[in-house]
Amino acid sequence: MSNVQSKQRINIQVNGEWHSTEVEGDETLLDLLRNKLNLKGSKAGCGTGDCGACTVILDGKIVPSCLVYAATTNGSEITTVEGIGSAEKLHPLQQAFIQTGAVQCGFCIPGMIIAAKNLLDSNPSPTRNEVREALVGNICRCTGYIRIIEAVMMAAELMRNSKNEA
Amino acid sequence: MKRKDYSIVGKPFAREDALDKVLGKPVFTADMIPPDAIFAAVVRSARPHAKILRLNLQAALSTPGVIRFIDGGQVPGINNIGTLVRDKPLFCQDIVRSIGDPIGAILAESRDAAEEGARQVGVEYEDLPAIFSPLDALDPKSVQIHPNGNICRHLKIRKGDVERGFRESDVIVENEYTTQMQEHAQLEPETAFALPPDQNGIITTVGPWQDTFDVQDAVALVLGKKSNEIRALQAQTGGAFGSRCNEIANELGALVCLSACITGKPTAIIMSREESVISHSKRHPFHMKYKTGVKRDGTLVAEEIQLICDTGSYASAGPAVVMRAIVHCTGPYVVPNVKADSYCVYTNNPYAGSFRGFGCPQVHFAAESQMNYLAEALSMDPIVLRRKNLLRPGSQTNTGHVLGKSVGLDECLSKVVDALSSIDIPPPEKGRVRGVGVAIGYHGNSLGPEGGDRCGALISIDAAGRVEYMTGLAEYGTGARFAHGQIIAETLGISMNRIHALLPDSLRAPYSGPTVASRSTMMGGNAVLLASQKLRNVLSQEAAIIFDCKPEEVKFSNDTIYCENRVQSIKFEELASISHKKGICLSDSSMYEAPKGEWNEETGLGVAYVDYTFGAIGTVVDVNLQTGYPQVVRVVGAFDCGKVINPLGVIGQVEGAIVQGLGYSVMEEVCTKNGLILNPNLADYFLYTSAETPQIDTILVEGYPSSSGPFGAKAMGEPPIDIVAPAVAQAIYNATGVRVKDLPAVPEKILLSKTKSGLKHII
Repeated sequence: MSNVQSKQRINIQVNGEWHSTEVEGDETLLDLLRNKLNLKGSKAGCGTGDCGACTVILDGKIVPSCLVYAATTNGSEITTVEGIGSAEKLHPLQQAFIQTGAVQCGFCIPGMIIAAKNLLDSNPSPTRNEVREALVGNICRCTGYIRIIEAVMMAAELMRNSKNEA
Repeated sequence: MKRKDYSIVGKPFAREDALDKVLGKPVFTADMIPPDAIFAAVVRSARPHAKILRLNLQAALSTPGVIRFIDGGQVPGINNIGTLVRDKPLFCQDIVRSIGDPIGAILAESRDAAEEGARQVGVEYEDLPAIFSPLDALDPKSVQIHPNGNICRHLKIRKGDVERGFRESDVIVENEYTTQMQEHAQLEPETAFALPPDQNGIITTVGPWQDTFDVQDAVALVLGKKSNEIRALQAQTGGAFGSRCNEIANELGALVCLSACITGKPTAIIMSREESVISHSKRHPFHMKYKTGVKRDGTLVAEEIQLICDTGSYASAGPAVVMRAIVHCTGPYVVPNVKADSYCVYTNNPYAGSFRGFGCPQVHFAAESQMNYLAEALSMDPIVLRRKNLLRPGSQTNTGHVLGKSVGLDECLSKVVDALSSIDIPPPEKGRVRGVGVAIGYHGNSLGPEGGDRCGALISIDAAGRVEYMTGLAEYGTGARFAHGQIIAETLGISMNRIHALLPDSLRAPYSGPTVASRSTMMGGNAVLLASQKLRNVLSQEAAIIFDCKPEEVKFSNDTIYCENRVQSIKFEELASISHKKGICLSDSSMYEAPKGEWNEETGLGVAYVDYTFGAIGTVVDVNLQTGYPQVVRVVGAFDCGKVINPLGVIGQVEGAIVQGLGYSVMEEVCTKNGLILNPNLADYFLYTSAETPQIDTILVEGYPSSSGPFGAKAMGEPPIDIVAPAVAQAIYNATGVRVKDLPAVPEKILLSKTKSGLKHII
């Protein structure tokens, strides 16, 4: 990649925390997350936006972070897989992915979970076909997707139930 | 058959490593690269067959951040990383045999600088004649790619008398089939790092390997060191399917270790997707000729088969692939007279090697398509024809192996036929036509004649009653090592949350061989079974002292050890603690050796694989008459898996293999032109996505336990992929009348043959 622009300072909110950092003109959001902010959850699978392993939520939309220049994200709000749950308090998607056997090698999983979260944020009761469509940008080579679709359906139900209880 | 009840084996347990993976913890190789690491980038051949005249390094070495260039001249040991055949240099020094062959590497302060430096290396070539068709390669007048000629291996089966068999046949069908080169597209690109020698002189390398022992030995040879000076550790591995074994794993390990030794700095490499596709082996394209003779009543009489397998520029696993292919070449049928020849041939195409299925998807496509042609020629239902000839308990296979009781093929076929007849799916959309196709298959378990088949395990119980274990088998997503955990928990009567699986460390783990051939559950399962039985015996002795009973009266269940009369009991962790305080050793190891068949390589006859997995797949396909696209709308699979250890694990393997098989059937193809891969990326190499994936109904058939697997388990990683393509092709035929004989069944092939009036068969 050629130098698009020289260094500049940006402020971004990642998983609820503000960071002020200097970025190169040709630095991708993925590189910034992985190398400068040490958030290794987002994965580099292709570098061309085709596999979805680097998917993050950027200002409410899912993007392949390998195709976004970090310099263009000044002032943005970003959610990565590290921001949606913890070992102590798993996100329902994380819980469902574990329970249904949706995780094999796991390399696609952070991107899958982020894409699924983005779906459930706007559509709490998706049909199976809506889940299939929402995950179309995320390649999984291990599972054949069936367990992953199951997991998202299960998570949607868990989230609806907990909302009803609350 | 009386079914024994188990408390852990056969139950769906979530895998232990899923937690870290859903949280995005840094568990993969690229997540763990030391911050002070330098980076390597490989300089690769741009020519399919050429002499290397000279290298121009000036521009590369003056690139900012570049430290130096290394090539074969810096290799202190042997500049070769070939596995079955030692035909592949780490760095080509005089001749390149395919595009992408490594010539040298640039070492630099950063990955970007290394890659830029590598691009700046000038290579002057003198082109040599190149061959891109394995049929051309067989011509003795063709250029010889390796010193021993272009035939890397020739195997044969000679059973009965095919000439007489054809004379006695009522109908003879002859066809040629071809299959394409397939890319693994494992989601994590090739990545590795190495640390310079520590104070004990040990060099550590970390990567996504399928065989840490092979990497260890290969690095040692390249560096001129002893194997025990190299420590190969496996990180969590982002998929494999065969792409992480043989030469590419050795290339990665040797490259980063060589750099770490030369520079004294930790060295890493992270390949781009494009380089990943170019640098690792592929699924072998096959050219197959089948001639099959059958009686009017459908009884198979004779089959003559020629398999030509394009292994590309290097042998890699090719010699073993042609072996597995020829053993399975008739499909799962009784054929009294067989003459088969299987050739592994060098060309200047990208090299091919291990890929899930290992020769079986290719031959099953041909053999099952033949059955469909025969059924049509006989005006017989293809299912009836299959039932008449399929392998049953006591049947004789293609290689003359008289099978035992563990043959559940007929039941699998019946289950699939029943399921298809009761499926309720909406009729096809307007402009689409629907067809249903069924195929059956078999898959020899573990290595068989491909190599020595041993696996070891280490196991220890700490004073708190926590169990840790390690085999030398790799984990690249299948979760087989957690099936091992269930076997340990079952044996020791403890719950799964006490059990912790370690990733392999080549200096610690007992030799376990490669993690290939769907052998993990069977081989590793037997190894941990032996090791945990040893510890159970030790604990029985200790408990017997406490209970004042005989050791054989001591039982293990529900995290409790008790005497048969159930008066006395002790918690597992208490017994572990007492034993530790007494100085009783609660660590042990095991080495399991699989029973060996006797297969005669000259005649191709004998017991190639001791156990086989059997299965059947049915597909429902809607073909769009406008676009030709074959949309698979339902898949039903039934597999004779012996005994399920973890249903989540088995179903995950079945579904994953079927979807990979669907891609192989209708869209996946590595396209090459004069040895150049035209689609080395995930934009132009099409993979199934969640949107295309149909519902898959998996039926696991138990009741035919294998003779050698733990609890009767059979291999399940590969068998489903073997038979997807013939089932899809038959469904397309039933929908459209178009027979696809060369994979993949892409829309243009279906449309073209549909539109040419009267031409139903694709040539």
